[in-house]
Amino acid sequence: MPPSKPSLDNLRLLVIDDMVEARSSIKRMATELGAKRIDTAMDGDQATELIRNNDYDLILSDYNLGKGRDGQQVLEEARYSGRLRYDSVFVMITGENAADMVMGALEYEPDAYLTKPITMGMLGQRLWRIFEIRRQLSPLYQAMNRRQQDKAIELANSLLLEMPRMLGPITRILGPLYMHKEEYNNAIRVYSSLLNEHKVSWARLGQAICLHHLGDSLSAIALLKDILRSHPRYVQCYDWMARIYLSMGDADYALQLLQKAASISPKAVLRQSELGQLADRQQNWEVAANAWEQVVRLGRHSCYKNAESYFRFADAANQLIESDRVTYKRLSDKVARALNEVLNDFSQQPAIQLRSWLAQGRLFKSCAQPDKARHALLMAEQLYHKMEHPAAGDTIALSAALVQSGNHVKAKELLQAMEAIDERDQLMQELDEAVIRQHSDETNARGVSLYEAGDLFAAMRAFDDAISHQEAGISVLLNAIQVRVSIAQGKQCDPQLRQSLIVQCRPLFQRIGAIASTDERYDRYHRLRASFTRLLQEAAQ
Amino acid sequence: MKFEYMVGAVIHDLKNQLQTLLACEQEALSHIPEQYHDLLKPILQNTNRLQNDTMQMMTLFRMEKERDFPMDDAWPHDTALDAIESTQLQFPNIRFVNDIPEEIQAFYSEDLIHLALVTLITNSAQAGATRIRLSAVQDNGLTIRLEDNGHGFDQSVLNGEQITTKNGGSGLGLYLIRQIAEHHSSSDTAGKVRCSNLPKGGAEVCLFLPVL
Repeated sequence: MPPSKPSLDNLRLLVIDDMVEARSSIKRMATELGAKRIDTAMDGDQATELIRNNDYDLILSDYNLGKGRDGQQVLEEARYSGRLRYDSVFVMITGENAADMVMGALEYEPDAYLTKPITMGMLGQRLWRIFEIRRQLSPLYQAMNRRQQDKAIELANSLLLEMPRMLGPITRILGPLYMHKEEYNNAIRVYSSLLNEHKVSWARLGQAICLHHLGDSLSAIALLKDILRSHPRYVQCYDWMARIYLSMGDADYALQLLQKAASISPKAVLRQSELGQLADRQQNWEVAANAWEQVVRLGRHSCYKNAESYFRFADAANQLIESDRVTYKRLSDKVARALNEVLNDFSQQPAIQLRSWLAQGRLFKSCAQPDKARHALLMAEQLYHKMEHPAAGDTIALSAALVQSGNHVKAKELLQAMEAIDERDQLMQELDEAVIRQHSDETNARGVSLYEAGDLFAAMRAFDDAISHQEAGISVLLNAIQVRVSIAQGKQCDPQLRQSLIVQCRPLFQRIGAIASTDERYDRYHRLRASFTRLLQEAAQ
Repeated sequence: MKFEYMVGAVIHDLKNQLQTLLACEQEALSHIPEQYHDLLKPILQNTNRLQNDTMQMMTLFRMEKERDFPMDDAWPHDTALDAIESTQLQFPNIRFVNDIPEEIQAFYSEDLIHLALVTLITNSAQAGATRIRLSAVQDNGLTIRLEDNGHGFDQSVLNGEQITTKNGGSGLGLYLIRQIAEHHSSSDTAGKVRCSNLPKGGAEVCLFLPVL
């Protein structure tokens, strides 16, 4: 047998522990074992940053890293983001029995657990065992590193025949490979051959997942329940039971199961997000708001951070706040903070900022703070108009907010400018034509008083605003013509301006169309028509 | 709060504090000149024993409550090495021999078997042993054997009348080891512990774990 001390000579190491004594003690042991290149991190954030920028062969991490993320999350993120090679070794160090910890997903389990206090002999011996397995299965690990799945399956099967003692480690690789290729019968076969020797929970879980995919959901559930009896903290069993019940249509029970899983392992971002989605679907806003809040909190410094979770949090919370703004006062403060965070953290993405302002508008409305709500909506509008290519969704979202706050006019303007899609047409139907008409009338009245006061240009702007709506009546159109004629008739009027005013009148006359001589507006129309013709002739001379 | 949960939490906290205390003592030992080490060692040894006792209590508590000590591929040689390293400092006069072949591979909860071995070693030390040998054979299960040169078991223990060696220990030792062995029972075979005295003097304990 090779010497029992592994040489860590050529390996790049990362030691993660929040306690300085523990960190230096592990580093000292690793140095004794020959390691020359050792980095250290004191928390999950620092560790993730280092893993992102370096290629480590061996990571020794404490499970409990203080306030932030734990070692399991560091591992999951490293594997999830693909920043850790397949054959890199991750050793989890725990202050407790391994049983206290929450296991990660099948593919995110560490290579070994070590219980504190760690002695050098123990560390060396354990690492030697791990590297021995790596060495004996090295062709398989290489294929996995290169993501050559078919080759890996072939190698794994032949290695199984050559080295029956490696049944456990090989099954751990081969099972998920078959599942990934959706060859569930093959996966069940390899798990069974291991289970014939040892009753390992992870292999049973693998079997249950395959049974479900093969359509035998009831057997899968029975198996999962049995695993939980002997291993009650194996949270993934709850995850899968939830998925299976959901697929069978029992969303309420699925929600309960996911809640149970999240209570055992509250720090797993992906699970919280699954819980949030299901709770949204079930309109269980209490659970949804809490789950999304966790996703926001836990994902803050990780690769899972995304704006969507912030908005889902705000939306679910808003449902509660709307129902009772006193009880949910603290929640509304949290939402406000989260939405502000989005503004800061996604400052280069106007579409996200727009959504944040709109969500703030809804929040303040629910909190009965109309001034703040108006301000948020105004910010949203300003931002929208600065956006170069707002997406259809952005226009719809802003228009919907405008409709909600009674700004039918502005909403209509936005909707008219965009291309027709289903949401647009739906929203158009919600527009209150009477309100728009009223707005048009009010603007018209403003124009009239400006006209009477002699401020012709301001009057023209008001009339133009009024006629921008299809509903504008003939009188309003006539006003818009009249103000143009009046300006053009002025002695001081610049010929070029006069020309353009005349040109602008044409389409307005077209919009009015023919007027019957019995119409009470006929005379006025006729007079304006005559003045217009005169101006035309003068211009031509 | 239920009383039993409070007990669990307190034991857990005790264990953590003792761990910190141990680390501090070891740190102190490395700074203090050697001539004074004799003064510090009893403190260290007693802290160690306290910690082992709380570990035992905690494990018993857990085995009753949750029963989720995951089992996995494990190497008895490594587990024994680990147990020896964690007790060496406490019992500097004992000479350990780890005769478990390095290539024997088995399937058990390493945390539990480690604790069982530490407990057995502590028992031997309390029985005045200066030499402990660990060996193992694999034959339709795994048998780990510990032999020492202490004063051996009292006849009453061998008769199964009492489960304590009563030499200043908590008396939990053998009971815990039996529990751990039983925890490793398969559907048709139970894990077991066999205690005997060696003809030439000293105790022998065999821990049998069936194939799981």
